[in-house]
Amino acid sequence: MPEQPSHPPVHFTNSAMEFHSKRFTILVTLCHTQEGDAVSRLSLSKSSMTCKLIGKPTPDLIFTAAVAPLRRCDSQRLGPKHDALKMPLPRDKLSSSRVRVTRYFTTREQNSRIFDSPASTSSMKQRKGTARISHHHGRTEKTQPGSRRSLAASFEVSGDHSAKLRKLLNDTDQPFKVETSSLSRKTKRNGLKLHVQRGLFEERLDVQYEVNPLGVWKSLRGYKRFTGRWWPWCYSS
Amino acid sequence: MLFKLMGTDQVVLTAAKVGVESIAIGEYVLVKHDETDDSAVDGSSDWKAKVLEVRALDVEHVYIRVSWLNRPEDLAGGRRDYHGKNELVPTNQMDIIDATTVNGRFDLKHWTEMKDIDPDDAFGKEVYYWSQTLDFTNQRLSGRPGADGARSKPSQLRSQTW
Repeated sequence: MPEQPSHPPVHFTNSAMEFHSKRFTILVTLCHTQEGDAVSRLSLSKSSMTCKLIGKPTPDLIFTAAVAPLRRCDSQRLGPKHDALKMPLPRDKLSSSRVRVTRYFTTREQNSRIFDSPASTSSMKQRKGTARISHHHGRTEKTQPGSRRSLAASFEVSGDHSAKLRKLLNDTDQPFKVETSSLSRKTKRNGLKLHVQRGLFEERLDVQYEVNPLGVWKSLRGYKRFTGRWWPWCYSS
Repeated sequence: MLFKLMGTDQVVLTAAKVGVESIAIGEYVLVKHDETDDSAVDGSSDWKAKVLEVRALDVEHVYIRVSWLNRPEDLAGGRRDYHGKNELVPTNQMDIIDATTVNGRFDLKHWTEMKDIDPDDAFGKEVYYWSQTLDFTNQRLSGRPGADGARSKPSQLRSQTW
């Protein structure tokens, strides 16, 4: 059995390239700018279907990318499967994968906006050290040697945001404030429409409200019911 | 668990027991509002609120958006003769609070009977109820259901001390 390469090999077809990992093969439809430059990069874990694309800071470019798993392959039978893996997927599977990738980036962009400094307002900016695959030359160009980002690194970024969020919540006694206003008042602040709370006992109590900071609040995961070992019960008899 | 002997047959649990519990949208909760360690459930002194939204980062950072239910004595006019002992006045005043301040749950009923029956007797002493609401944005209190089934005119509160 041939030794597994450190980086997935890249195979170019007419409009797509295939990445072969230990267990999955991913087909990436290349994204082209108007000048015809391919700027997408895919990193994938060996045990997960989760994919990440890193490209130029143009969200529409990334959103048009299509990522689809070709076929799962057993690592011990990787070699003999390679030929069959070059079969393209049906169009409908590409579509569903495209939705998943789009959602991933949308979420990531929203989370990044909360904490990014003004100098780096867009999380879609080309990060230093990210590898860039040249469509024309079929090789990987590194902007900084030895700084290739992996999928694990992307989770570290997410973890960093989580740590910042945790620190913010720990350091603030009352991290959130809610302002309410009458429904009849058509107030818009910063171009954002206020939320409306309905179903409060009587219709007359329907109210507009605004949470500050909204980004931090929205970055927390919402629950219909939250269960955990956090409830400070005290009993006396 | 830590126990403190209070007498020959009285034992008080002094350590907080952190158990598996849950909090859900739509529930009515008691909210502890002081820093004392004695957090025994006391429905009469705890603040009351309705859970509208639950968000969490992890089990240590759980926040809930609530709308408050005032006691009659919290209103500008204070408690009136017609207010029942367990009556609450729902409002659309909202806050986001730490879920660790939640001290328990309670039941809330809507008092719609027009007959001359004391709701405290009808629901029992442990059940809270509401019959009128307060719009926090304009400080207007809804009318109460009268004996003839019609609601009285809403009254405007001149000032509130929250």
